[in-house]
Amino acid sequence: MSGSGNSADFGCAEARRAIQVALDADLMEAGERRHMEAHLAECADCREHDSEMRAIQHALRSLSPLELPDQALQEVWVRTTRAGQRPTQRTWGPSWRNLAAVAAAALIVAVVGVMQWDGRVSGVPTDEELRRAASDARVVLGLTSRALRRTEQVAFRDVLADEVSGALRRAPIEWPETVSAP
Amino acid sequence: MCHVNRNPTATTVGCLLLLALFASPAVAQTTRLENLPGYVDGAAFIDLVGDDAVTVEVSIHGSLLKALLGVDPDLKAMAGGLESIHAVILEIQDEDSATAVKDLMRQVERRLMRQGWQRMVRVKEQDSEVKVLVLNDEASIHGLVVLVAGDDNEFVFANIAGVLDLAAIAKIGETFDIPGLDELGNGD
Repeated sequence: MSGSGNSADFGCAEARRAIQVALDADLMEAGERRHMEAHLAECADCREHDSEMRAIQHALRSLSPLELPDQALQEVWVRTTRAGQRPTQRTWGPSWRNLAAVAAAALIVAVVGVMQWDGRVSGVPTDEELRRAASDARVVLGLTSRALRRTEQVAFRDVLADEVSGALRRAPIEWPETVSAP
Repeated sequence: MCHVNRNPTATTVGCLLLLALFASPAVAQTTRLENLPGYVDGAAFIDLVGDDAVTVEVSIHGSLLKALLGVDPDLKAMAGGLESIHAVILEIQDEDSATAVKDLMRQVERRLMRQGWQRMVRVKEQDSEVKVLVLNDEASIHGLVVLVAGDDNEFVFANIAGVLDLAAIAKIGETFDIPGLDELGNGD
């Protein structure tokens, strides 16, 4: 499609592509726009198509944005990460050099395993780690505790005590003499 | 991972080394951690504002937590069912970052509530806000999240997971003195 072409070459197919470009607010050459408008003035089908497309666009814009569900995000993530993986090449066969390399790697695996078993990599925590963990745990649990007690305050003092009893005091209720108003 | 095609030997060695380094108990713990129903990852807060804004980051779970409960009878008595303790405390200097953290807190809250968490409380006073969310079923409480947005641009994300006794955890505050975080009150 060319904006400088003859309007006689500008048929329905060109007009509908131009309509889409105009709806998408993409840049359109002045000549192309003139051709599209001239075509629309003559072609009732394309005018109807233009109206329908504008109505659809208006309806779509009036919809409130939808938040993507977590599940959908997760699926996109899984597909994206899978798409980035390439198959492992399997054209090589066993050779002494390969076997030696595998043996060396297996030895390293064994050494790392022994280190872990020994507790130096990720096993039993040291006393210092335990002291620090105890301090950290107390900070977080203390913070959580205070949040829970704040919850309790809101539930009992702010809502039940102040709000409800205040409302009861204002209510036109004659309390029996044996029962004191809240 | 492991898709280097030119040198299959190096590929094999590399893969085995990676297995050796990562197929450790620590990784197994991480996997189990993410399977805990009450666990919520707070790393997004750090990713958002960077390490410089982090004043406290706590991550205790797996063998460390088991060992801790083993040597601290008081803690075990009050929170023996705990399986993980996580917290991030941020001090934000600029308003744009503070706004971003507040937005993230709202997103976290919405996401948790969509996943079945319930908001126990939301306390909004002046410019500070405290929210507590719990994940529970008919039998027990499996997770608790505390979100605090302080008026001094101090933000707190805390998550504890496991089988929780809220009454016992609430009593912990009587014995521990935690400086700062005035938004949470003193629990009196």
